[in-house]
Amino acid sequence: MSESALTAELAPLLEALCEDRMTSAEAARLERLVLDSAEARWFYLSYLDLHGSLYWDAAGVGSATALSTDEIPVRTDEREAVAVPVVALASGTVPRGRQRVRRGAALVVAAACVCIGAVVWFAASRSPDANQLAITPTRSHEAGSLEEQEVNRSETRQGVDSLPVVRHHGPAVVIATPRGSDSTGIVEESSPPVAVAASAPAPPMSPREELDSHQVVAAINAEVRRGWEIGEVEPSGVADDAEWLRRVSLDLIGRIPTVDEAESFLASHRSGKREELVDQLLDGGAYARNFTTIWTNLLVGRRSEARVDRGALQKFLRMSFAGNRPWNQIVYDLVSAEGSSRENGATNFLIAHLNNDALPATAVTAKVFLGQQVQCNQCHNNPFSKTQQTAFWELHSFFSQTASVTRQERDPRTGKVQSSHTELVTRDAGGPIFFETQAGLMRVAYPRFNGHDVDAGPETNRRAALARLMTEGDQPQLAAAFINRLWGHFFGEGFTATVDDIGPHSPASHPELLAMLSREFVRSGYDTKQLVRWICNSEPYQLSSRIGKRNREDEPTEGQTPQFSHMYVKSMTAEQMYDSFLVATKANRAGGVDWTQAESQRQQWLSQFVVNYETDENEEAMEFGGTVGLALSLMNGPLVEKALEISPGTFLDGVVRRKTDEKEKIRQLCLATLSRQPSANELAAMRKLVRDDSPARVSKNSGKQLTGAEGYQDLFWALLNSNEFALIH
Amino acid sequence: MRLSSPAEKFAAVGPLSWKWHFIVNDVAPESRNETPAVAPGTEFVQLFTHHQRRLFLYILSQVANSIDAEEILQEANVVIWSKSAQFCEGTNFLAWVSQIANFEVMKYRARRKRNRLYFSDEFLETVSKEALERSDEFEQRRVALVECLAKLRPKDRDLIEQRYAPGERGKRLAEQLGRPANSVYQTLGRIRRVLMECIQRRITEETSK
Repeated sequence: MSESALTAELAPLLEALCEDRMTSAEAARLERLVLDSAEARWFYLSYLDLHGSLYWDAAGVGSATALSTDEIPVRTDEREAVAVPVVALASGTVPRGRQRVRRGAALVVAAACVCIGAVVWFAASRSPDANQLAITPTRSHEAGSLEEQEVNRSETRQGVDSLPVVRHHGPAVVIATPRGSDSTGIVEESSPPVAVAASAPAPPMSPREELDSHQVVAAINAEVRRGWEIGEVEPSGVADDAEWLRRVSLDLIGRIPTVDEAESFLASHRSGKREELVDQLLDGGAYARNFTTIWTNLLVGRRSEARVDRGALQKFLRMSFAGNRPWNQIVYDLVSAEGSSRENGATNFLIAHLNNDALPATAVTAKVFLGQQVQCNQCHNNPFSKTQQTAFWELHSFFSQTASVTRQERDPRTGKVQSSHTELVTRDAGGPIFFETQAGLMRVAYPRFNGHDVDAGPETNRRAALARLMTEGDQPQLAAAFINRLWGHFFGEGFTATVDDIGPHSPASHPELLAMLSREFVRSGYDTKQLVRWICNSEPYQLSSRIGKRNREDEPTEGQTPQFSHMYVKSMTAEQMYDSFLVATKANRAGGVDWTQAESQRQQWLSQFVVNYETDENEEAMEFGGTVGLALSLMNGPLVEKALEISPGTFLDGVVRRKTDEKEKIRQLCLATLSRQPSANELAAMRKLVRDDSPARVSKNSGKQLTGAEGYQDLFWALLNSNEFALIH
Repeated sequence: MRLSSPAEKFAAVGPLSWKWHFIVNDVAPESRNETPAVAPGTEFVQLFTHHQRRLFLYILSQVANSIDAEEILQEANVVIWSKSAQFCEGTNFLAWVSQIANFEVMKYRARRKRNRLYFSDEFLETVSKEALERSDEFEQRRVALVECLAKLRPKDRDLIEQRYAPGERGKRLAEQLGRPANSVYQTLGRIRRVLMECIQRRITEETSK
C-alpha cells in the first residue's frame, strides 16, 4: 500500500477513534494496519499526539503550556531553545486574547497535576526554607504561565457560564450565573452559599489576579473588617502571645504547649514569630495526629462499631495529613475505597456506615464532605431547603452495590478464630432503588449526582463514579464544606449556624469570604496546610477573646451572626483535654508507650463519655459537655492520681524537687497548665495556698514528705480544675 | 547483576515484562496511600512537572479518549509522587514514569473490561514502545503545530477551539452549532488532516534545511 493510500484509509479510522464513534470492525482494521506497518504506527502516534496536544493545550491557549515548557528531558542546555516556541505558542494561537483564556484552557493540567503539582508549586513558592522545593532555574520563567493556569482552573468542567468579574483590590466580588437549573441533583437543589460557591469561581480578568498567600490573608481581613463596619462593632485587641500560643497549639496540634514551648515563644521578640510557629506546627507530626483525631471522629465517630479498624483508618488519615495530600484526593479515596479494612484504611469510613441499609452512608457522606443535611429527605421533601426526597435516594443509590464481608482467620489446629477483618466490596448489581413518598407511592431512583446521571448497569462501579463526581476538578461545594468546617474549628463558629449545614435556609455570615476561600482553596489544589495558614495568619485569628464595649453584641451563642470581632471561647474536646492533661502533668512519663498504645489508652479513657445512637445518621452523644467538674471527676481515676503523685518522671515531681524558689515553682505550674505567667495578684493568692496547705499535711506524713509538696499538689489540682484550663480562648 | 533504578530495570527486562516487575517489586497497589517519607527533591519536582504533558500524550496514545487519559494520568501521578524516593536522579525519568503509567493503563483496562475496549494488549505494547522511543520527535511536531494552528482559517480555528474547549466531548458541539453531527465530524476530521499535513511539511522543511 502506498503511503498516501495508507493515510487515506487510516485518517477516517482515526477520526472516528478521536470522536469515540468507532465500531469494533473499524477498531480491528485499525489495529491490523498499525501492527502491520511502521508507517501506520507512526501515523497513528502522530495523529493521537495531535489530538492530545489540542486537548492539553485546549486549542492553543498558550497558558496551558507552562507545565510542559521545557519538558524535553533533562538536558539543561536545551531549555532555552525550547522556551522560544512556547512564547510562539502563546502569542501565535491566542489571537483573540483573554476571552479564550477565560474559557479555561488549562483544565487538563489543572485537573491532572493540580492535585500534586500545584501543591508542590505552592509549597515551593511559599517557603523558601522548606528543605527541598527551592526555586529552580526554570521557575521564574514558568511562574507567569503557571499563574494563568491557576486562574483558568477556576472554571468548572461542567461549564459555568461566567460573566465578567469585577474585582476590587483585595477581596473579589464575583458576578456569575449559576449552572443550568434543569437538574435535580442534591447539589443544585440546595445550592446556596454553595450558591456562593456554585455560582462559581468565575475566572478573574487577568492572570495577575491569582492571589498569593499574603493576598488571601489580606482578602480575609478585608472581608471580615467590612463585616465589622456594617455591623458597627469594634474588634477586640490583639491577643497577647500567651493567649495566642495556647490557642494555636490547641487548634493545630490538639494540646496545650509544654512549658519549654511556652517559655521560648514568649521570650522571642522576633517579628513574624506567629507565622513561623504556624509553619513549624504544621510541619510536625502532632498536626497530622490532631487532624487525624478530628477526622476519625467525624468519619466513624468516637465509638465506632467493632468491625471498623480504627487504627487502619487513622494510619490512612495520618499519612494523608502528614503528606498534605489534596483534600479532594482524600475524599476520593474514602468514598471509593474497596478492599480489606486492615490494609486499606480508607475502607473503614463506609464500613462504619453500612448499618440500617447503608442509609447512614448516604447521610454522612453528604453531611461530612458536602455540608448537606439530607437525612430528613429520606422521608420527605425539606420544607426549609429545596432538597428533594428524590435527591436523597438518588445519592443513596450510589451505595446500593456496596457491601461488607467479614473474614475470619482460624487456627488450623484448634479451629479458633484468631483474627478477623472486614472487606468492603462492590457487587455487580444494577438497576434503580425504590422508595416510598409520604403519599405512599413507590418511586424509583437512579444514581444521579449534581445533575450527572450515571449508568445504572451492573458493570458501573457506582461509588467510584460518585467519588469522581464529588472530587474531580473544581468542586466549590466540596471546598466550601471543608472550609466552613475548618473555619469553625479555628474560630468556634463557622460561617453558617451549623458547620455542616450549608444551604439557602442557612445563609452564610460572610458569603463573599467563603466564596473567595473556596476559589483559592480549589486553586491551591485543595492544599489543606495552605488553608490552615491563611486562617491562622488572618487578623481575626489574632484577636483576643476578651470582649470590649463595642463588640458585646458579637455573640453567636445568643443567636447573633458571627462577626469574628473577638475570639469566641471554645471548650476543649475530650481528646484535647486528655492530651493537654498529659502534657501538663507528664503523667504518661512513667512507662514509655508508643503511638498505638497511647492511642488505645486515650480511646479507652474517652469511651466512658460516649454514647452511640444507631440512627440513620449514626449520631453520637458526648457526655462531656464542657462540664469540667464531670470531666475531672472522671479523670480522678488512675490518670489524675498518677499526675499528682510525687514520683520520679512526673512534672510535679520535677518542679517540687528543683532547687528553685517558691515563686518560680508556682510560675512553672502556671505555665504548664495555663501557658502563661501568673499575675501579681494570682501569685500572691497561690503562695498563700501553697503555704497554708503544706505544713499541716506534711506533719501527718511523718515529716518525710518533701516540704511544700502537698501545697503544690493542691495548687496543681486547682489549676487543672480551672475553667481557664478547660477552655480555648 | 544488581539494578538500582526502575529505569535500569526497565532497560534490562524490556517493556514486555514490566508488568511483572511492577507487581513484584515496585508499585504494590496498597502502597498508594502512603506518602513518601522524604519529600521529593527539587530535581524530581522539576522533572515531574515538565513531563506531565508528555506523559499525558503517552497515555492518550494507548486509550485514545482524552478524558480517560487525564484520569489515568492523575492516578499515575499519585503513584509517581509516592514512589519519588525510588527514582534515581540522572536516569531516564520518562522511562520511569511511563512504566507507572503502563500499570495504570492496565488497571484502567481491567476496570473497563466489560465496556468495549478498542485494542488488544499486543497493540498497546507495540504502540507504547514506539511512543517512548520516538518521544523527542513529538517535541518538534509540537512546535510545528503552533505555527500550523496560526495558519488555519479563522473559521476552522474557531471550530477546533470549540471542539477542544474544556469539558467538551464533541457530542454536544453539533447541537450547539445547529449542524448535523456527521457534518461537524467531517469538518473536524478535515481540519485535523490539514494540521497533520501542515506539520509534516514543516518537519520536512526543517530537516532539509
